[in-house]
Amino acid sequence: MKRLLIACSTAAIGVASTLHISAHHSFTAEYDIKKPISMTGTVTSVEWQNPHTWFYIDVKDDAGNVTNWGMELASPNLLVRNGWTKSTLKTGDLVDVEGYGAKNGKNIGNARTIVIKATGQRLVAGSSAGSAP
Amino acid sequence: MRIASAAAATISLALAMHASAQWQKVPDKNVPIEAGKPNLAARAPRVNRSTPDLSGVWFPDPDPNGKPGGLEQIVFPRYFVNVTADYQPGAVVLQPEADATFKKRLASEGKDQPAAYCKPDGAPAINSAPLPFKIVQTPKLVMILYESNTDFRQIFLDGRKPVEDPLPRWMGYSTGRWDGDTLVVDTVGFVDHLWLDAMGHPNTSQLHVVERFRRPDAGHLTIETTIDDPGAYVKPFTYTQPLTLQPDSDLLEYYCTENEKDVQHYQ
Repeated sequence: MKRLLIACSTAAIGVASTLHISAHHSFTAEYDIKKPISMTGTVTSVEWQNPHTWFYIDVKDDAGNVTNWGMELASPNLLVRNGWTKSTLKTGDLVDVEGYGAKNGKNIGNARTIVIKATGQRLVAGSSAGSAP
Repeated sequence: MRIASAAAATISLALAMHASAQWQKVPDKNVPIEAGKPNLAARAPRVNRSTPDLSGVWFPDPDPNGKPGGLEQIVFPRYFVNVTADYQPGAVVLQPEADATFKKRLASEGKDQPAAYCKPDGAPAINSAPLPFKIVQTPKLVMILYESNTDFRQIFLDGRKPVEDPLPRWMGYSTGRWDGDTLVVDTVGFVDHLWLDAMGHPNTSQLHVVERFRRPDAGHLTIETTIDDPGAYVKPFTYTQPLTLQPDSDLLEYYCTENEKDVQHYQ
């Protein structure tokens, strides 16, 4: 019986290695690491609130159709401890955003890097830019 | 292009700054300043030349073997991810029912993690959560103010016995005593649906936690934590969370329900 339990636990650890932990919730439960996204748009609003900062951008496609995307960042508490202020990203900013799309297919994503085009300022969601989750 | 490069360098510098950047004008007076900086290697402060003073703002150290991960792209504390990380896989043997619960949680990709629903982290997991906490030490009561969910614990040092048949609590019911320079904290009376880590190691109402708080110098704290839960684990197991003082930082508010919208995005 003990041997069986050990085998089960070992298998469970193997499953865990594929999990992507986040501070507040699982990355894997919401986003798809195999779905990188990249877009340019204008910030329409910023929600500087816990548990996660969200910002929204209007993205225009080649046909001129505008779609609003919601992009998730780390908590404002983590961002402010990494050099952000609540005015680092503002409504009206034109930004390049890279990140990962949601598994549910809706227009939401986890932003990893943001470049404010007017200044070239490159922002990251946490403390280490660009690496995979 | 030159402007863009300069701006990029500026934000990189800003990102290299630590939590301390926000409150540099209000340093922790418990830590000596040398050459303009808090000396984290100084001797640990003491209370009236008696016990160590554990007071201060603390942050659990990232896993020295970890890689940036998660939505936040940070290196998480080792035991925030896995309280059995120091053991060989399978060395911590779960009871059958707990093992089934653990596997179910793993298979859910973390969707059932209480924190995602703005429920408390619970003790002792909250000591390893990647948010700071503040210890406020008095002779008869140690209070721990956690930024995570703006939560708190009380550790009674007034000689009282643990409450018989306590109300189940996410933080349990804690009594403490000094053993030399170590604060030994006994906690019982937990709810039976904790996640001891982000992987989902479970517990039962039989959980008894012993935490040994030590401050080897001014800038460092360790919490040796023993999980003794015969309902969930065949034998007790132990892990030690190292933490570093944030000498010129302080807590922020964190009300998870303010803007929680991840769960509604789950498929």
